[in-house]
Amino acid sequence: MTCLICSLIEKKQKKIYEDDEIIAFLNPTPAVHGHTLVAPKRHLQIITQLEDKTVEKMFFVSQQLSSLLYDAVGAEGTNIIVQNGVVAGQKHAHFLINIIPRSKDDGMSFEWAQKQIPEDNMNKIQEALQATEAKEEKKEAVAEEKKKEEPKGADDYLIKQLRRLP
Amino acid sequence: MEATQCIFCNLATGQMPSKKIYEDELITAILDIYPANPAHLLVMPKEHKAIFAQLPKATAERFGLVAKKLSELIFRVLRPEGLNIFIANGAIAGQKAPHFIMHVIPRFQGDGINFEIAEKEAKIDDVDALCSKLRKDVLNYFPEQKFEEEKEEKSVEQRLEERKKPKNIDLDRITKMFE
Ligand SMILES: [Zn+2]
Ligand SMILES: [Zn+2]
Repeated sequence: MTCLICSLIEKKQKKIYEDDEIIAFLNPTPAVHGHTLVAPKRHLQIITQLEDKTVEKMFFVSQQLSSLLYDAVGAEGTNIIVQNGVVAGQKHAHFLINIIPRSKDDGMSFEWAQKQIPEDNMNKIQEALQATEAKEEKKEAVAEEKKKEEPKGADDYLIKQLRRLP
Repeated sequence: MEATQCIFCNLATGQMPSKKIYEDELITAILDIYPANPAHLLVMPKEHKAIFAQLPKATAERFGLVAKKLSELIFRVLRPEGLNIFIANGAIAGQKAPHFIMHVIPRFQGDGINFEIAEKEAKIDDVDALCSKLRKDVLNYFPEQKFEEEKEEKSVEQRLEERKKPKNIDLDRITKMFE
């Protein structure tokens, strides 16, 4: 199956930003004038699959582009929306950051009803998230330690060998 | 609004108790006590900033990294079927308080929340005109960008100089909307 976003990226259609990893372009079917999409060039579906530095860059570029869209389309606000998964509204299996300039009477609304969650459940959720977070941090730290202990990779070995050369 | 009067400043810096989930030197994430769904997170800069555009580069980048890390955490712990990341800049966009917030919202089938974006056919001429305009603007922010059709009217030095000029966003007006 071909991915529409991949094909738009390949054509560089209505591109307004590009670097080695990411691209931004005007949505050919925009919610409003100026609806911009920021995408990784690699076909990745959701945020957790992106490399740290790619997601950092995507947010910085989204910030810069959302700033200049105020002027360009006379927006009074902006929404930045990421949809991970079909139930979250994702239409293409390619990760996107949506930048949507907003103005009065544009007919859009992203509001939600607030749920009442008993204090007990809130505490359980907090504990579960904190426990998993701590476990992950420990795992990362152990991996770091291991890296230090393990013999250096082939590249380092080669460099050392080269240094020994007269 | 004075920073000290801002409830989110107090939450972000720990002056007020909260259900904290994540913290680093720039950012704090807490459980929303009035959530759209269980485990709805509010991610805030520690520094009082109203909208995304005002965040320093390092903080904007960090928001991306934290969005990824917290999404991983929520997917692992709650196993939702989806997850939204949502930012509202300006009252008109649904922003409720003048302190920048990124929402991380786990999603489940039939949860009654809607982040669908209705797409429309655009007039080609309108999109073309906007695209040309934006490319010129983008060069002021990212002078190294190259667009085939664009003529090199300005030197990179000129563009870097222009980039230093304040961005033309009426922050006062956006902030006033909350009052
Ligand atoms: Zn794709
Ligand atoms: Zn504040």
